[in-house]
Amino acid sequence: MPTPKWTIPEHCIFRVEEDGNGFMFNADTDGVHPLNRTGILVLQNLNGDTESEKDIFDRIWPQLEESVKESVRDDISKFLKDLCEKGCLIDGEAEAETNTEQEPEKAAAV
Amino acid sequence: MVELCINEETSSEKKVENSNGSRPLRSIYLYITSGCNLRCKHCWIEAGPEERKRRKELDFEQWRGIMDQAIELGLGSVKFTGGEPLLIRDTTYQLMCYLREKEIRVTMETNGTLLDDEVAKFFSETKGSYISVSLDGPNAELHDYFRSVKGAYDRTVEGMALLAKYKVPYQLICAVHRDNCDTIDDMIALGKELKAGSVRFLPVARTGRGSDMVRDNQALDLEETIDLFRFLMEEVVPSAGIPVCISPTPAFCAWPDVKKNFKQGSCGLPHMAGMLADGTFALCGIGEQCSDTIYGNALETPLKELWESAPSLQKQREKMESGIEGICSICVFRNTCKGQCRAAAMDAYGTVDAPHPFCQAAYDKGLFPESRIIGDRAAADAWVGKQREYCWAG
Repeated sequence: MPTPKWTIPEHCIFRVEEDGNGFMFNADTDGVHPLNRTGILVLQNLNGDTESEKDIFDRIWPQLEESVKESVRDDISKFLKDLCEKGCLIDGEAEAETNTEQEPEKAAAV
Repeated sequence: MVELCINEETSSEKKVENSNGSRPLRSIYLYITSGCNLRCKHCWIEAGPEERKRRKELDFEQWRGIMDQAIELGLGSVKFTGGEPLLIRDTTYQLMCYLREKEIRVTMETNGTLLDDEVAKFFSETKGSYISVSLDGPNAELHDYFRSVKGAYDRTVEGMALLAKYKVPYQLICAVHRDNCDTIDDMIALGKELKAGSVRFLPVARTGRGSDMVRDNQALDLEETIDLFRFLMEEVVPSAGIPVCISPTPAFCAWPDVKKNFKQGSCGLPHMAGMLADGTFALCGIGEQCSDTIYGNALETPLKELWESAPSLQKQREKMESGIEGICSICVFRNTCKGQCRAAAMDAYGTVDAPHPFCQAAYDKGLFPESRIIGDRAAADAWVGKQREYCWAG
């Protein structure tokens, strides 16, 4: 079973409003993070599979406005990292790596 | 960088403290007189010519003593309001100059009828200072009726012209009600003509004499107020050609407007206080109507003691800091807006941790934006129908 690369944690609410804007709310911190249309597009296209930023970019590419296409490629990484730092996104791969690294320490402690 | 993802976080207020770890008194709203040369139909302080007798006014020396104590507590700014602060022009002006010497920011709310060259010059020459002038209609008929004094319009416009002469980027403030809500465009044109720096539109406050306007069906109701905000945000602000300021709660703003309107922020209660004309220390001007928001008198008790130890103030701060109830507790902005004006909440419900009356009333009527609700509705349902008759209820 592959580890989902990106997931929105249970304590967070991702919501898109009628006018196309949206937000991420972190109930643990009460932090409110407004999202623009491109950010929303990225989050809507996280499908839970193991995927790279390139996979996400390829998926949203047809829906992007011409004027932002090139710069979005570079920004996806920063966007996802920002959300992880704010506790609004879980990077499953990074967590799996951390857990693996911690195993020997746990064993030693026992 | 492309405008992608996360705009700047609308984070909650940063914790600030004095160097000794105490809570700073950053700002004072100074209701320096209860008197006014006008008698406005919406005045939430209920000021007027006769009301000057309501509280014995302090002289400059007494205010200086109080301000010196406030400076020790971390004072950064003083807003002169009233009543009409220029009704006691010499005391006000002396104190403004004293505060400037002490590098305290001075702001003023005035009806503009008593402005003179010296005061205009003060605001022209004093960095960081700010003045706003109230004008409630683009013509004498409308404004004078609302202000209850013939000739008020002409005198206010003269005051604005004086500020323009000294290149003061003042703000024109208009209280919106049923009789003037169709004059928004004219008010903006007038603001531009009279070289205002910005124009602010506010629905009339629903307390003091404002509650009489509600009772007499002169104030905008809930639906009309929501429509007004929407009209201002969507149609007026983008094309006005002058900064237009409005203060809806963030829950009623589209996301691009949220950040702009957060300048208003949450209630300053943790770091500000009101001083009434006789030295009474209070939450703000609401102390005139609500005795629960009076904490003592700075002539009788050292300000430090009032600020740090007044039991009712401590209790209100604790309540506020533990979270605002009702719709505010399940709103996505619960930790950023924090129910905004606590005086309005006190007036509507009698407790400082009550929900914002406008938002709760909107929730009661099914008009609160669904997408901004992030919690269990039982918390909001518990407050349905509880606010005072002349606030937003009914």
